[in-house]
Amino acid sequence: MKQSSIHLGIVDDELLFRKGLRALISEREEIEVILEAGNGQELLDQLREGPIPDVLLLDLNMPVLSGVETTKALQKSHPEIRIIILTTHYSKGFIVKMIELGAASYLPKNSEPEEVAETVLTVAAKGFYYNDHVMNVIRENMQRKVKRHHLAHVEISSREKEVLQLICEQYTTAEIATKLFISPRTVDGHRNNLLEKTGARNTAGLVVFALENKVVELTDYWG
Amino acid sequence: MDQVLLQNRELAALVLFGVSIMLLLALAFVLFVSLSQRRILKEQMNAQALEIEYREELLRSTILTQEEERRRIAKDLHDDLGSKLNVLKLNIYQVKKFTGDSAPAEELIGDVKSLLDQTIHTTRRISHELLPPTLQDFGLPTALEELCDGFQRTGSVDIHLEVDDPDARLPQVNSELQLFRVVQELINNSIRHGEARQIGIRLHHGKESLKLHYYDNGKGFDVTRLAEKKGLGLKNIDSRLHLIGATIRYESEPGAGVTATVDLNPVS
Repeated sequence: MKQSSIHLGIVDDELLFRKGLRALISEREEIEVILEAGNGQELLDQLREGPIPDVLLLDLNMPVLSGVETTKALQKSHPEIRIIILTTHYSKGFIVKMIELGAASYLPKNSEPEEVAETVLTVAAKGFYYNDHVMNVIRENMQRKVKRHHLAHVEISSREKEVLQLICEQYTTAEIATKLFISPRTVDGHRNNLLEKTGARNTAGLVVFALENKVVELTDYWG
Repeated sequence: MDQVLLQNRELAALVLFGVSIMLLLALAFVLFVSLSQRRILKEQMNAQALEIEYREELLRSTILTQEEERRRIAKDLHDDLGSKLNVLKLNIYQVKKFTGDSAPAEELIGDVKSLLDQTIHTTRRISHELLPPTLQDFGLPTALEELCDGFQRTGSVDIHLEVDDPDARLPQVNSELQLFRVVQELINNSIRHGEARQIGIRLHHGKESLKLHYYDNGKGFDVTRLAEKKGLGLKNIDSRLHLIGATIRYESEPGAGVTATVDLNPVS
Protein backbone atom coordinates (compact mmCIF):
# COMPACT_ATOMS: atom_id res chain seq x y z
CA MET A 1 0.00 0.00 0.00
CA LYS A 2 1.46 3.31 -0.99
CA GLN A 3 1.71 5.77 1.87
CA SER A 4 0.97 9.28 0.68
CA SER A 5 2.92 11.89 2.61
CA ILE A 6 1.46 14.27 5.17
CA HIS A 7 1.42 17.91 4.16
CA LEU A 8 2.67 20.08 6.98
CA GLY A 9 2.64 23.86 7.55
CA ILE A 10 4.88 25.66 10.06
CA VAL A 11 3.74 29.01 11.48
CA ASP A 12 6.22 30.82 13.74
CA ASP A 13 7.53 34.37 13.79
CA GLU A 14 11.12 33.24 14.36
CA LEU A 15 12.54 32.50 10.91
CA LEU A 16 15.50 30.50 12.24
CA PHE A 17 13.18 28.34 14.31
CA ARG A 18 11.11 27.53 11.22
CA LYS A 19 14.24 26.67 9.23
CA GLY A 20 15.66 24.47 11.99
CA LEU A 21 12.42 22.62 12.57
CA ARG A 22 11.81 22.20 8.87
CA ALA A 23 15.26 20.69 8.35
CA LEU A 24 14.80 18.22 11.21
CA ILE A 25 11.23 17.25 10.47
CA SER A 26 11.85 16.84 6.74
CA GLU A 27 14.14 13.95 7.60
CA ARG A 28 10.96 11.94 8.08
CA GLU A 29 9.97 10.94 4.61
CA GLU A 30 6.28 10.63 5.54
CA ILE A 31 6.18 14.38 6.21
CA GLU A 32 6.45 17.09 3.59
CA VAL A 33 6.60 20.74 4.68
CA ILE A 34 4.56 22.63 2.09
CA LEU A 35 4.03 25.94 3.86
CA GLU A 36 5.82 28.41 6.12
CA ALA A 37 4.39 31.60 7.58
CA GLY A 38 5.67 34.24 10.01
CA ASN A 39 2.30 34.98 11.59
CA GLY A 40 -1.39 34.15 11.40
CA GLN A 41 -2.22 36.72 8.77
CA GLU A 42 0.53 35.47 6.46
CA LEU A 43 -0.87 31.98 6.91
CA LEU A 44 -4.45 32.98 6.06
CA ASP A 45 -3.20 34.85 2.98
CA GLN A 46 -1.25 31.81 1.80
CA LEU A 47 -4.20 29.48 2.40
CA ARG A 48 -6.32 31.63 0.11
CA GLU A 49 -3.79 31.15 -2.71
CA GLY A 50 -2.04 27.86 -2.38
CA PRO A 51 -2.32 24.29 -1.20
CA ILE A 52 -3.96 23.45 2.11
CA PRO A 53 -1.80 21.52 4.59
CA ASP A 54 -3.21 18.53 6.51
CA VAL A 55 -1.49 19.51 9.74
CA LEU A 56 -0.22 22.82 11.11
CA LEU A 57 2.46 23.52 13.69
CA LEU A 58 1.28 26.80 15.18
CA ASP A 59 3.08 29.18 17.54
CA LEU A 60 0.89 31.27 19.85
CA ASN A 61 2.92 34.41 20.48
CA MET A 62 3.12 36.12 17.09
CA PRO A 63 2.74 39.67 15.81
CA VAL A 64 -0.19 40.86 13.64
CA LEU A 65 -2.40 37.79 14.20
CA SER A 66 -1.66 35.64 17.25
CA GLY A 67 -1.99 31.87 17.40
CA VAL A 68 -5.15 32.17 19.47
CA GLU A 69 -6.87 34.37 16.89
CA THR A 70 -5.51 32.25 14.04
CA THR A 71 -6.99 29.09 15.56
CA LYS A 72 -10.38 30.79 15.90
CA ALA A 73 -10.23 31.94 12.28
CA LEU A 74 -9.15 28.52 11.00
CA GLN A 75 -11.96 26.73 12.82
CA LYS A 76 -14.34 28.79 10.73
CA SER A 77 -12.57 28.77 7.37
CA HIS A 78 -10.60 25.49 7.42
CA PRO A 79 -11.94 23.15 10.13
CA GLU A 80 -10.30 20.23 8.32
CA ILE A 81 -6.77 21.44 9.11
CA ARG A 82 -5.44 19.79 12.26
CA ILE A 83 -3.66 22.23 14.49
CA ILE A 84 -0.76 21.36 16.75
CA ILE A 85 0.08 24.21 19.11
CA LEU A 86 3.85 24.48 19.57
CA THR A 87 4.53 27.17 22.13
CA THR A 88 6.42 28.43 25.15
CA HIS A 89 3.08 29.17 26.87
CA TYR A 90 2.79 25.76 28.39
CA SER A 91 0.44 26.70 31.22
CA LYS A 92 -2.88 25.20 32.21
CA GLY A 93 -5.00 28.15 31.13
CA PHE A 94 -3.54 28.15 27.64
CA ILE A 95 -3.79 24.39 27.19
CA VAL A 96 -7.45 24.27 28.24
CA LYS A 97 -8.42 27.25 26.09
CA MET A 98 -6.64 26.02 23.00
CA ILE A 99 -8.04 22.49 23.29
CA GLU A 100 -11.50 24.02 23.69
CA LEU A 101 -10.83 26.05 20.55
CA GLY A 102 -10.21 22.79 18.71
CA ALA A 103 -6.43 22.27 18.81
CA ALA A 104 -5.59 18.65 17.99
CA SER A 105 -2.45 18.68 20.11
CA TYR A 106 -0.37 20.90 22.36
CA LEU A 107 3.41 20.73 22.70
CA PRO A 108 6.02 22.81 24.52
CA LYS A 109 8.33 24.58 22.11
CA ASN A 110 11.44 22.87 23.37
CA SER A 111 10.05 19.38 22.69
CA GLU A 112 12.39 16.87 21.08
CA PRO A 113 12.06 17.14 17.26
CA GLU A 114 11.39 13.39 17.31
CA GLU A 115 8.35 13.97 19.51
CA VAL A 116 7.13 16.78 17.27
CA ALA A 117 7.40 14.51 14.22
CA GLU A 118 5.63 11.66 16.01
CA THR A 119 2.85 14.02 17.07
CA VAL A 120 2.42 15.20 13.48
CA LEU A 121 2.06 11.59 12.33
CA THR A 122 -0.37 10.64 15.12
CA VAL A 123 -2.51 13.72 14.60
CA ALA A 124 -2.65 13.08 10.86
CA ALA A 125 -3.70 9.46 11.42
CA LYS A 126 -6.02 9.79 14.41
CA GLY A 127 -7.17 13.38 14.52
CA PHE A 128 -5.62 14.28 17.83
CA TYR A 129 -2.83 13.48 20.25
CA TYR A 130 -2.82 14.65 23.87
CA ASN A 131 0.24 13.68 25.87
CA ASP A 132 0.03 12.80 29.57
CA HIS A 133 0.47 16.37 30.73
CA VAL A 134 -2.30 17.69 28.49
CA MET A 135 -4.57 14.81 29.54
CA ASN A 136 -4.02 15.63 33.20
CA VAL A 137 -4.82 19.27 32.58
CA ILE A 138 -8.08 18.37 30.78
CA ARG A 139 -9.01 15.97 33.54
CA GLU A 140 -8.32 18.50 36.31
CA ASN A 141 -10.23 21.15 34.44
CA MET A 142 -13.15 18.80 33.87
CA GLN A 143 -13.61 18.38 37.61
CA ARG A 144 -13.94 22.13 38.02
CA LYS A 145 -15.97 22.53 34.92
CA VAL A 146 -18.87 20.43 36.09
CA LYS A 147 -19.68 23.17 38.58
CA ARG A 148 -19.86 26.01 36.15
CA HIS A 149 -21.18 24.46 32.94
CA HIS A 150 -24.44 22.66 32.60
CA LEU A 151 -23.92 19.31 30.95
CA ALA A 152 -24.85 19.09 27.34
CA HIS A 153 -28.07 17.18 26.78
CA VAL A 154 -27.17 14.86 23.97
CA GLU A 155 -28.70 11.47 23.31
CA ILE A 156 -25.99 9.04 22.29
CA SER A 157 -26.70 5.45 21.31
CA SER A 158 -24.74 2.67 22.96
CA ARG A 159 -22.98 1.90 19.67
CA GLU A 160 -21.97 5.52 19.24
CA LYS A 161 -20.71 5.50 22.79
CA GLU A 162 -18.53 2.48 22.02
CA VAL A 163 -17.11 4.23 18.98
CA LEU A 164 -16.52 7.41 20.97
CA GLN A 165 -14.72 5.48 23.66
CA LEU A 166 -12.41 3.88 21.10
CA ILE A 167 -11.78 7.24 19.45
CA CYS A 168 -10.70 8.56 22.83
CA GLU A 169 -8.36 5.61 23.17
CA GLN A 170 -6.67 6.78 19.98
CA TYR A 171 -7.74 3.91 17.74
CA THR A 172 -7.89 4.61 14.01
CA THR A 173 -11.06 4.11 12.00
CA ALA A 174 -9.79 0.80 10.63
CA GLU A 175 -8.87 -0.46 14.09
CA ILE A 176 -12.25 0.52 15.51
CA ALA A 177 -13.97 -1.27 12.62
CA THR A 178 -12.02 -4.47 13.36
CA LYS A 179 -12.69 -4.26 17.09
CA LEU A 180 -16.44 -3.77 16.70
CA PHE A 181 -16.82 -6.15 13.72
CA ILE A 182 -18.28 -3.41 11.53
CA SER A 183 -17.08 -1.76 8.32
CA PRO A 184 -14.88 1.37 8.37
CA ARG A 185 -17.66 3.15 6.51
CA THR A 186 -20.05 2.45 9.38
CA VAL A 187 -17.46 3.77 11.85
CA ASP A 188 -17.26 6.98 9.83
CA GLY A 189 -21.05 7.14 9.87
CA HIS A 190 -21.09 6.90 13.66
CA ARG A 191 -18.34 9.50 13.88
CA ASN A 192 -20.29 11.91 11.67
CA ASN A 193 -23.43 11.36 13.76
CA LEU A 194 -21.42 12.11 16.90
CA LEU A 195 -19.99 15.28 15.36
CA GLU A 196 -23.47 16.42 14.42
CA LYS A 197 -25.04 15.58 17.79
CA THR A 198 -22.32 17.15 19.91
CA GLY A 199 -21.67 20.14 17.70
CA ALA A 200 -17.95 19.34 17.84
CA ARG A 201 -15.97 20.51 14.84
CA ASN A 202 -13.44 17.69 14.70
CA THR A 203 -12.21 14.57 16.45
CA ALA A 204 -10.36 16.65 19.02
CA GLY A 205 -13.66 18.37 19.84
CA LEU A 206 -15.32 14.96 20.25
CA VAL A 207 -12.68 13.87 22.73
CA VAL A 208 -13.09 17.05 24.76
CA PHE A 209 -16.85 16.55 24.73
CA ALA A 210 -16.46 12.94 25.86
CA LEU A 211 -14.15 13.91 28.71
CA GLU A 212 -16.09 16.93 29.91
CA ASN A 213 -19.41 15.15 29.88
CA LYS A 214 -17.98 11.96 31.30
CA VAL A 215 -19.36 9.91 28.43
CA VAL A 216 -16.32 7.70 28.59
CA GLU A 217 -14.61 6.28 31.64
CA LEU A 218 -11.24 7.92 32.05
CA THR A 219 -9.46 5.99 34.73
CA ASP A 220 -9.08 2.78 32.73
CA TYR A 221 -7.01 4.44 30.06
CA TRP A 222 -5.22 7.36 31.58
CA GLY A 223 -5.26 6.52 35.26
CA MET B 1 -16.56 120.75 96.77
CA ASP B 2 -17.87 121.24 93.29
CA GLN B 3 -14.40 121.47 91.97
CA VAL B 4 -13.36 118.25 93.65
CA LEU B 5 -16.40 116.54 92.19
CA LEU B 6 -15.57 117.86 88.77
CA GLN B 7 -11.98 116.68 89.09
CA ASN B 8 -13.18 113.23 90.14
CA ARG B 9 -15.52 113.04 87.17
CA GLU B 10 -12.77 113.98 84.78
CA LEU B 11 -10.57 111.42 86.37
CA ALA B 12 -13.26 108.78 86.07
CA ALA B 13 -13.84 109.65 82.43
CA LEU B 14 -10.14 109.52 81.85
CA VAL B 15 -9.86 106.12 83.53
CA LEU B 16 -12.87 104.86 81.61
CA PHE B 17 -11.36 106.13 78.40
CA GLY B 18 -8.04 104.47 79.15
CA VAL B 19 -9.66 101.20 80.10
CA SER B 20 -11.72 101.08 76.94
CA ILE B 21 -8.67 101.84 74.80
CA MET B 22 -6.85 99.01 76.52
CA LEU B 23 -9.83 96.71 76.06
CA LEU B 24 -9.98 97.59 72.41
CA LEU B 25 -6.29 96.96 72.05
CA ALA B 26 -6.61 93.64 73.81
CA LEU B 27 -9.51 92.72 71.56
CA ALA B 28 -7.56 93.72 68.50
CA PHE B 29 -4.64 91.67 69.73
CA VAL B 30 -6.78 88.61 70.36
CA LEU B 31 -8.44 89.02 67.00
CA PHE B 32 -5.09 89.38 65.29
CA VAL B 33 -3.64 86.32 66.98
CA SER B 34 -6.64 84.15 66.23
CA LEU B 35 -6.81 85.30 62.64
CA SER B 36 -3.17 84.67 62.00
CA GLN B 37 -3.41 81.33 63.75
CA ARG B 38 -6.29 80.38 61.52
CA ARG B 39 -4.29 81.43 58.51
CA ILE B 40 -1.31 79.38 59.59
CA LEU B 41 -3.57 76.40 60.16
CA LYS B 42 -5.11 76.82 56.76
CA GLU B 43 -1.73 77.00 55.13
CA GLN B 44 -0.66 73.91 57.00
CA MET B 45 -3.74 72.09 55.85
CA ASN B 46 -3.16 73.18 52.28
CA ALA B 47 0.37 71.96 52.48
CA GLN B 48 -0.84 68.68 53.92
CA ALA B 49 -3.42 68.24 51.19
CA LEU B 50 -0.75 68.93 48.61
CA GLU B 51 1.52 66.43 50.30
CA ILE B 52 -1.19 63.74 50.26
CA GLU B 53 -2.03 64.47 46.66
CA TYR B 54 1.63 64.36 45.78
CA ARG B 55 2.09 61.05 47.54
CA GLU B 56 -0.93 59.56 45.83
CA GLU B 57 0.32 60.77 42.47
CA LEU B 58 3.74 59.33 43.25
CA LEU B 59 2.26 55.96 44.20
CA ARG B 60 0.11 55.94 41.10
CA SER B 61 2.96 56.68 38.74
CA THR B 62 5.16 54.20 40.59
CA ILE B 63 2.58 51.48 40.00
CA LEU B 64 2.18 52.38 36.35
CA THR B 65 5.91 52.62 35.72
CA GLN B 66 6.49 49.36 37.54
CA GLU B 67 3.88 47.56 35.47
CA GLU B 68 5.26 49.01 32.24
CA GLU B 69 8.77 47.89 33.18
CA ARG B 70 7.54 44.42 34.08
CA ARG B 71 5.73 44.16 30.78
CA ARG B 72 8.80 45.25 28.83
CA ILE B 73 11.17 42.89 30.62
CA ALA B 74 8.72 39.97 30.29
CA LYS B 75 8.38 40.66 26.57
CA ASP B 76 12.14 40.97 26.02
CA LEU B 77 12.78 37.82 27.98
CA HIS B 78 10.16 35.88 26.11
CA ASP B 79 10.50 37.25 22.59
CA ASP B 80 14.24 37.77 22.34
CA LEU B 81 15.88 35.43 24.79
CA GLY B 82 13.32 32.63 24.87
CA SER B 83 12.82 32.24 21.16
CA LYS B 84 16.57 32.34 20.46
CA LEU B 85 17.14 29.63 23.04
CA ASN B 86 14.65 27.44 21.22
CA VAL B 87 16.48 28.04 17.95
CA LEU B 88 19.72 27.07 19.67
CA LYS B 89 18.15 23.84 20.85
CA LEU B 90 17.10 22.94 17.30
CA ASN B 91 20.61 23.75 16.05
CA ILE B 92 22.13 21.41 18.59
CA TYR B 93 20.01 18.60 17.16
CA GLN B 94 21.34 19.41 13.70
CA VAL B 95 24.93 19.40 14.93
CA LYS B 96 24.30 15.87 16.14
CA LYS B 97 24.07 14.71 12.54
CA PHE B 98 27.71 15.59 11.92
CA THR B 99 29.29 14.11 15.01
CA GLY B 100 28.63 10.52 14.02
CA ASP B 101 28.93 8.01 16.82
CA SER B 102 31.48 9.93 18.87
CA ALA B 103 30.65 9.20 22.50
CA PRO B 104 32.26 12.36 23.95
CA ALA B 105 30.36 14.51 21.43
CA GLU B 106 27.16 12.67 22.29
CA GLU B 107 27.69 13.35 25.99
CA LEU B 108 28.53 17.00 25.43
CA ILE B 109 25.48 17.50 23.26
CA GLY B 110 23.36 15.87 25.94
CA ASP B 111 24.72 18.29 28.54
CA VAL B 112 24.14 21.30 26.31
CA LYS B 113 20.56 20.19 25.63
CA SER B 114 19.67 19.74 29.26
CA LEU B 115 21.27 23.09 30.14
CA LEU B 116 19.30 24.73 27.35
CA ASP B 117 16.08 23.14 28.63
CA GLN B 118 16.73 24.45 32.14
CA THR B 119 17.48 27.93 30.80
CA ILE B 120 14.37 27.90 28.61
CA HIS B 121 12.33 26.84 31.63
CA THR B 122 13.77 29.59 33.85
CA THR B 123 13.27 32.26 31.20
CA ARG B 124 9.66 31.22 30.79
CA ARG B 125 9.03 31.13 34.53
CA ILE B 126 10.47 34.62 35.14
CA SER B 127 8.63 36.06 32.15
CA HIS B 128 5.31 34.55 33.26
CA GLU B 129 5.74 35.69 36.83
CA LEU B 130 6.36 39.24 35.64
CA LEU B 131 3.25 39.25 33.49
CA PRO B 132 1.00 36.22 33.04
CA PRO B 133 0.36 35.89 29.27
CA THR B 134 -2.98 34.23 30.06
CA LEU B 135 -4.29 37.56 31.33
CA GLN B 136 -3.73 39.34 28.05
CA ASP B 137 -4.99 36.54 25.82
CA PHE B 138 -7.91 35.17 27.82
CA GLY B 139 -8.76 37.71 30.50
CA LEU B 140 -9.15 37.82 34.27
CA PRO B 141 -11.11 34.60 35.01
CA THR B 142 -8.62 32.33 33.24
CA ALA B 143 -5.62 34.15 34.71
CA LEU B 144 -7.12 33.89 38.21
CA GLU B 145 -7.81 30.21 37.68
CA GLU B 146 -4.15 29.71 36.85
CA LEU B 147 -3.07 31.82 39.82
CA CYS B 148 -5.27 29.86 42.25
CA ASP B 149 -4.06 26.63 40.72
CA GLY B 150 -0.48 27.64 41.44
CA PHE B 151 -1.25 28.37 45.11
CA GLN B 152 -3.36 25.21 45.39
CA ARG B 153 -0.44 23.19 44.12
CA THR B 154 1.71 24.30 47.06
CA GLY B 155 -0.65 22.28 49.26
CA SER B 156 -0.64 24.84 52.08
CA VAL B 157 -3.94 26.47 51.24
CA ASP B 158 -7.27 25.46 49.73
CA ILE B 159 -8.50 28.03 47.22
CA HIS B 160 -11.95 27.93 45.73
CA LEU B 161 -12.67 30.11 42.69
CA GLU B 162 -16.15 30.68 41.35
CA VAL B 163 -16.67 32.54 38.09
CA ASP B 164 -20.01 33.36 36.50
CA ASP B 165 -18.57 33.89 33.01
CA PRO B 166 -15.16 32.30 32.31
CA ASP B 167 -14.76 34.17 29.02
CA ALA B 168 -15.72 37.64 30.27
CA ARG B 169 -13.39 40.47 29.34
CA LEU B 170 -13.23 43.96 30.82
CA PRO B 171 -13.14 46.90 28.42
CA GLN B 172 -9.81 48.05 29.87
CA VAL B 173 -6.86 45.64 29.86
CA ASN B 174 -5.32 47.74 32.62
CA SER B 175 -8.35 47.06 34.85
CA GLU B 176 -7.84 43.34 34.40
CA LEU B 177 -4.17 43.65 35.28
CA GLN B 178 -4.77 45.78 38.40
CA LEU B 179 -7.54 43.47 39.64
CA PHE B 180 -5.26 40.49 39.07
CA ARG B 181 -2.53 42.16 41.15
CA VAL B 182 -5.06 43.01 43.88
CA VAL B 183 -6.18 39.38 44.18
CA GLN B 184 -2.54 38.32 44.19
CA GLU B 185 -1.89 40.71 47.08
CA LEU B 186 -5.03 39.61 48.97
CA ILE B 187 -4.01 35.96 48.72
CA ASN B 188 -0.47 36.80 49.81
CA ASN B 189 -1.83 38.71 52.83
CA SER B 190 -4.20 35.87 53.73
CA ILE B 191 -1.40 33.33 53.69
CA ARG B 192 1.42 35.41 55.12
CA HIS B 193 -0.35 37.51 57.77
CA GLY B 194 -3.64 35.70 58.24
CA GLU B 195 -2.23 32.18 58.10
CA ALA B 196 -5.44 31.25 56.30
CA ARG B 197 -6.04 27.63 55.26
CA GLN B 198 -9.05 28.37 53.10
CA ILE B 199 -9.68 31.13 50.59
CA GLY B 200 -12.73 31.74 48.45
CA ILE B 201 -13.02 34.07 45.46
CA ARG B 202 -16.19 34.81 43.54
CA LEU B 203 -16.34 36.87 40.35
CA HIS B 204 -19.61 38.35 39.27
CA HIS B 205 -19.72 40.23 35.97
CA GLY B 206 -22.27 42.90 35.17
CA LYS B 207 -22.59 44.55 31.79
CA GLU B 208 -19.48 46.66 32.25
CA SER B 209 -19.12 46.30 35.98
CA LEU B 210 -17.53 43.66 38.14
CA LYS B 211 -18.01 42.53 41.70
CA LEU B 212 -15.32 40.46 43.37
CA HIS B 213 -16.02 38.73 46.67
CA TYR B 214 -13.08 37.48 48.64
CA TYR B 215 -12.92 35.66 51.94
CA ASP B 216 -10.43 33.73 54.01
CA ASN B 217 -10.58 31.84 57.30
CA GLY B 218 -7.40 33.38 58.69
CA LYS B 219 -6.63 35.45 61.80
CA GLY B 220 -8.49 38.53 60.61
CA PHE B 221 -7.91 42.06 61.92
CA ASP B 222 -9.66 44.97 63.62
CA VAL B 223 -11.39 46.91 60.85
CA THR B 224 -11.88 49.98 63.07
CA ARG B 225 -8.12 50.39 63.27
CA LEU B 226 -7.72 50.13 59.51
CA ALA B 227 -7.43 53.90 59.03
CA GLU B 228 -4.47 54.30 61.43
CA LYS B 229 -2.38 51.27 60.58
CA LYS B 230 -2.51 50.20 56.99
CA GLY B 231 0.39 48.10 55.79
CA LEU B 232 2.13 48.66 52.50
CA GLY B 233 0.20 45.80 50.94
CA LEU B 234 -3.20 47.28 51.73
CA LYS B 235 -2.09 50.74 50.60
CA ASN B 236 -0.90 49.20 47.38
CA ILE B 237 -4.33 47.60 46.91
CA ASP B 238 -6.04 50.95 47.54
CA SER B 239 -3.86 52.74 44.99
CA ARG B 240 -4.34 50.11 42.32
CA LEU B 241 -8.10 50.15 42.75
CA HIS B 242 -8.16 53.95 42.91
CA LEU B 243 -6.31 53.95 39.60
CA ILE B 244 -9.13 52.10 37.83
CA GLY B 245 -12.00 53.72 39.73
CA ALA B 246 -12.82 50.70 41.87
CA THR B 247 -13.44 50.47 45.60
CA ILE B 248 -12.82 47.89 48.29
CA ARG B 249 -14.63 47.22 51.56
CA TYR B 250 -13.23 45.02 54.30
CA GLU B 251 -15.20 43.13 56.91
CA SER B 252 -13.18 41.44 59.59
CA GLU B 253 -12.69 40.85 63.30
CA PRO B 254 -9.69 39.40 65.07
CA GLY B 255 -10.04 35.65 64.81
CA ALA B 256 -12.91 35.73 62.34
CA GLY B 257 -11.17 35.77 58.95
CA VAL B 258 -11.41 38.49 56.34
CA THR B 259 -14.12 39.31 53.85
CA ALA B 260 -13.42 41.86 51.14
CA THR B 261 -15.69 43.16 48.40
CA VAL B 262 -14.23 44.87 45.35
CA ASP B 263 -16.54 46.95 43.23
CA LEU B 264 -15.69 48.10 39.73
CA ASN B 265 -18.35 50.19 38.14
CA PRO B 266 -16.93 52.55 35.53
CA VAL B 267 -20.33 53.94 34.62
CA SER B 268 -21.22 55.38 38.02
